[in-house]
Amino acid sequence: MQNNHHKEHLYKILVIGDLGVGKTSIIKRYVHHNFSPNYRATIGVDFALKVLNWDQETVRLQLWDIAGQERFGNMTRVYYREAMGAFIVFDVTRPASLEAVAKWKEDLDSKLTLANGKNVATVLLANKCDQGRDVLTNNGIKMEQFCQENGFVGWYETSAKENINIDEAANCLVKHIIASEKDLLQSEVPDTITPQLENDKGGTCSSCFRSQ
Amino acid sequence: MLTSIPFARPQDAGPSVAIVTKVNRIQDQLVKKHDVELHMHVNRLEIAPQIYGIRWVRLLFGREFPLQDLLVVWDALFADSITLDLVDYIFVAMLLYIRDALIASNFQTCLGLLMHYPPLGDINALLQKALFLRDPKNNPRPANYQFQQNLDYYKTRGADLMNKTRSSTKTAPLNINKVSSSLLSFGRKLIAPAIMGGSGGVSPINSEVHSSSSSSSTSPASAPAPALSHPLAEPPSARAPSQTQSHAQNQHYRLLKSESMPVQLSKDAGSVGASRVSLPTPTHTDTQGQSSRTVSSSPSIESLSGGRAQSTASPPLPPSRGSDVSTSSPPLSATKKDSFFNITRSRSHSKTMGKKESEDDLEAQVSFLQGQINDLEAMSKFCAKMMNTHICKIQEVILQENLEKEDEVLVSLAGLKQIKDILKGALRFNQSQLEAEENEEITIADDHYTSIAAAEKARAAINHQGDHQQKESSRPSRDSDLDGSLSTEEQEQEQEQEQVQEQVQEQEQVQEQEQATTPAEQQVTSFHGSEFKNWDDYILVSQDGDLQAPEGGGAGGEKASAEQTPPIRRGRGLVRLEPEGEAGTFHDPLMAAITSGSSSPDEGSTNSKDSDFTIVNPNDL
Repeated sequence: MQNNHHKEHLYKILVIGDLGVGKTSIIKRYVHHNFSPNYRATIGVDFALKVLNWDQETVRLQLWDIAGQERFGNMTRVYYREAMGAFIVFDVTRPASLEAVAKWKEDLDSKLTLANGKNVATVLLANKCDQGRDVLTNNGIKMEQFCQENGFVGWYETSAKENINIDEAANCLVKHIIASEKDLLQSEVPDTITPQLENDKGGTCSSCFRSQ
Repeated sequence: MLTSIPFARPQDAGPSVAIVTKVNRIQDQLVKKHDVELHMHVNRLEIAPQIYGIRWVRLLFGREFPLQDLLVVWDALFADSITLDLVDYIFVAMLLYIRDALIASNFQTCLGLLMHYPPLGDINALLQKALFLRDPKNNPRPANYQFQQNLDYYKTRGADLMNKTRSSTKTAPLNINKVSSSLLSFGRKLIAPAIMGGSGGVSPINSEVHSSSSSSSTSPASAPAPALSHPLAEPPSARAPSQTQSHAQNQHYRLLKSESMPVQLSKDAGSVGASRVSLPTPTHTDTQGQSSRTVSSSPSIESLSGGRAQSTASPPLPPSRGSDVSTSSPPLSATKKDSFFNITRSRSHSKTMGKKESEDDLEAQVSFLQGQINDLEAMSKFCAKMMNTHICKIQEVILQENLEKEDEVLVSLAGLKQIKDILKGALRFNQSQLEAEENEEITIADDHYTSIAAAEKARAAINHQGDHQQKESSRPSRDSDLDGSLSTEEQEQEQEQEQVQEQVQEQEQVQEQEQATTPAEQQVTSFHGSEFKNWDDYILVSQDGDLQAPEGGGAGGEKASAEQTPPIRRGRGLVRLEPEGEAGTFHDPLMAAITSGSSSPDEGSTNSKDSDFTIVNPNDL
């Protein structure tokens, strides 16, 4: 059905992290290419759509902007459903928001796994890097280590205000999502092929053999 | 449990569970109760209510409406009760408002609609809907007020649906447009004269139009001023819900290309002609040409002749009424068929473009047609309401005037009321019945005027068993009398309208046309209304007339009916000049179809009647 056209992918991507770290701003920058200095708390969840051209294929990203305060509720499970990837955002000027990253990751992994049981691809965003480089992210090695420990596929210093690294981070995430999707499809292959194999070997079935 | 949910603490669970419980209860109980289909749809898409509902409830809809509307909502909420239990019903009313769009949409578009709630034309309509949902007994039933997918929605939604259906929908719905373009323009023009024709001055009528088209309730209990002034101040959005919205809907897919449409839509009713000019379809250019040729033709004629010009070549022939009826109605069905062919063509065409696209195409078509149906529904509701007000006005005037032929006029008015009820949906209009009646009528219709005269006479003299011969002899004078009395009425109305016109000071030619022809239309309407009514009487009262017609009447009756009509037209012509006759002739099929077909005696002499009555009924779409 899609053979005549280039393939289309639709991925649900979560954007989570503590209150006021700039999740909505990142999405706004990424999707609408603008930035507003005014703060407006997201309530519950919001969403936006981004269309990418990816190797002659169309990738649609459904970006779910989950309010930071929702971690206090027991509702994130509903929002996480069927997501293929996630950004976890923290604010480089607020160390507490980095501490919360681990909790967010844990929350995410506990409620959301891919069909093959793996965790979804997650990219860590150190937002507001225009506000001056923080000691937290100064040590790149330390951050790499943090990512490995917590299962992030990568991390980026970003700024929604200055439009730094946001596209790069998104591309990184999409790349990993596509990879994990292929992984997923391959892991499903044996299951889908099984009936065909049976058809091929139909004659070897003991009962059939007897009847013949 | 707690270990697997790191952020959840017992004290947090309380409030969050409460709001989730609330929105779940709203969706699973209230929505299910009031709209099962919608409930099934959101369930099928697995859209949990907390995804959109939490923000709705937590902020008391603070992000869903513009501030002006929000203040109205909050006033309603806080004034209603300290428990704010109206929230639940506003919630449901909001869902119902966009239910058609939701049902026609996929998961993603649904989320877009729910999380970026589309702009509302009339917040009061929503509140009244909410009140009605909570307590149907003590609150007036608001008419179905539905969000029509418009450009704004797609703009905010990004390229989502547009991209998917781009190539196929651009062509297909254009053809669908043709199906009901004539109907819609007919409706628009019905509405337009009504706006202009009101005797109570312009602004009240206009506001009435707005509130009725948006809330569409016959009794706007508390339609306050702010909502009226506010939407009127913003033409594109505010105008949209009324007569122009159907147009907007119509234009929707074209809008994907050009965004200039809303500007045209924002113009007044008078600019219908102007916007029509801009339409690229041949139908409309033909219409335009025709309307300029026959300057004072009735609005409905234009729409009809548009269809005719497209499908058949038969030009309108005002002088010969009998033939007009026969020529004017078949083209209607022809138009329709033609456009359905177009649909099928486009569908088969889209098949070649891949299943997915055709699915999207169909989906878009379904939503589009749904929108059309809603438009037509709203249109007929609106027509009913306007008819009602005008009928009441006429009735008042007549009662004051103590006219000599008061009874006849009142009978006509009763017929009009019946039409109104049909439009309103209070009276069942059944297609098959209509056709059956129509077929039976072939033999007896010639005698129709006699029977009318008979019925009227019987009514006037309170003598139901009168001699048929006598009635027949009294017929011509009676008809002319009837005509005369209506003409005076019509003159009054014309005067009223001229006053209105002066007040408005928008003297576009199109407007003048429409205005000038309004009374004609109304007269025709009432005329047929009387026929309709009397036909019923006839069936009930003097059944033997049926038998008499084929026997004694025969060709004579036919002749009689043929002779009958020209004098009437001539009579009108004295007062009103040509448009009258045209309005009468061309209006026939539509009116006939609307008023269940038993109305026009002339159709007894037409051959192709079965195919005539498929057009106007909105259900048919």
